Amino acid sequence: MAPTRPPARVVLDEQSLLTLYESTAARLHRYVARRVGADTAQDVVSEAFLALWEQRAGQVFEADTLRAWLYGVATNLLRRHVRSEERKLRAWSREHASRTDVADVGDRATGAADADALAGPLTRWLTDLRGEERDVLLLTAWAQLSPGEIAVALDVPVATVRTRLHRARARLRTRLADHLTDTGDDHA
Amino acid sequence: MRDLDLLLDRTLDRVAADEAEPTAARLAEGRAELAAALAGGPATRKRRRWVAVAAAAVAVAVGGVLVQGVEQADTAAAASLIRAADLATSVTDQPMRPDQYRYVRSRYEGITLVDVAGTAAYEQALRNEKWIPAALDGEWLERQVVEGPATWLPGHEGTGTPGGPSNREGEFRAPCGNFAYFAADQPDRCAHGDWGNPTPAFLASLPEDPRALYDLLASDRGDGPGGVLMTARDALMSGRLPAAVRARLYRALALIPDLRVTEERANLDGRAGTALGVRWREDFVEVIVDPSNGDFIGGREVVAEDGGRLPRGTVRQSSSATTAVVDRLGDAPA
Repeated sequence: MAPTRPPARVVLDEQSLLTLYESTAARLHRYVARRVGADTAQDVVSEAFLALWEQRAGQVFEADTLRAWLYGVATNLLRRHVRSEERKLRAWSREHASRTDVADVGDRATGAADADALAGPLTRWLTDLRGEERDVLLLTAWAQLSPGEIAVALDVPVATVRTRLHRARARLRTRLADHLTDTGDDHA
Repeated sequence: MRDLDLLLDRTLDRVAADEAEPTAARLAEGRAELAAALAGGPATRKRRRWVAVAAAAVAVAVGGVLVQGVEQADTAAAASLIRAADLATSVTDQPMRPDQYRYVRSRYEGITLVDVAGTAAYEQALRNEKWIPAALDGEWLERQVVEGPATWLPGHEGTGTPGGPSNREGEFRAPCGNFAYFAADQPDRCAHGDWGNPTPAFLASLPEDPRALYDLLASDRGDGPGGVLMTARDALMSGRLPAAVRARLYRALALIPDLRVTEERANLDGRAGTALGVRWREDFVEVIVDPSNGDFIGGREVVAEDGGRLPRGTVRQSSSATTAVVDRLGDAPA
């Protein structure tokens, strides 16, 4: 659908960066913390805002683009932490290997028991994905960016984003199906 | 295939979702650091230099913010502590004979996101009833039904019919509440207690001191102040907390920073109570307590942030809870 009016264009100055911090820092922190842990997340988030400033200060941009750039910068910074990300995910996977509790009904209702029980194994499989596929998958699932935003963030064509997402999901679906077959459950 | 995709999305949603949230103070500090760094030099300067400038400037910039924050929090916390202490003094137990059953009825209305992007979402209502024997190793009964057809959330319509069968619908019977809908290899629920399944041994292990109880709630879930309330909600929803434990729990919840107490909050059935609420992830979550007897009567989750999958102000879930004591498995309370 065509936009009804041209998107707002803004210069990245101190005020717009601080406004971006106010609207986005908590959300970005949550995404980064899920990947590398809350302690490292504080540093990554601070550094991402400063790096964005360093790279783009004074440039004119469309308002929606700025958030995507920020996630792109943060994702690049996360690559430096890939080992600690994988360590963290493995530790989480061990800790949650057998944890299941269906207390919650409603929003997180259907199949809650299955999803809880599978969270441990799935976390392990995430570490087996190629880094670029994991980036796209988690930017979608945890940062809730659209393929278009991810394309801006990672500076790749939208088609590439879709391909990586498709591959990542296909790999995980296969592991999931195998796992369910092994445990005698049938969801396919 | 669609089921696998759905399961994948739901599972992804759970992975590492228990990381600590940044606190309001930490975010204020981060903003002050950023502002200080921006004021510290032109954009062409090296990042390392900015960080050093930021570190020097923050102590001053943040001081004011923190002091202000603490003062406000102290006032609010004092009020909520008094209110929650009131709740704690009103709790009563429903006496139960060894041959009777505790009946717990919960109703929910909520929005289920079909995919993690939240493009498709539907509304659905559920009713869940449980009969729990006084002797926990006796037979338990659980019935769950969907109330009315699921409907697509306006603006989030998906394809086909919304909803679908859940492995938790229908009637289940099992000793210890080891129901068939649980995933395989789960520990025996008579032997293994936790917040959602508070066995007598688990209850006996809880600390007496509200601060120690708060710390335990915080560390068990590791999901910030909101996580403390959600864990407490799990325990309250079980319908199995004796009055003394509920009293301690309300005193512990009063210690949640920025806890908001709202009088006359209606649950899903329209029954009003005192709500204890706090931010949790992108939502504002509440537990509602009947101030006359300290009973947990429901909860609410409302989207509290812009820019997420659902608009701010959307009620993600509303629920009601009732407990009673009955003589026979499957009996409705009088």
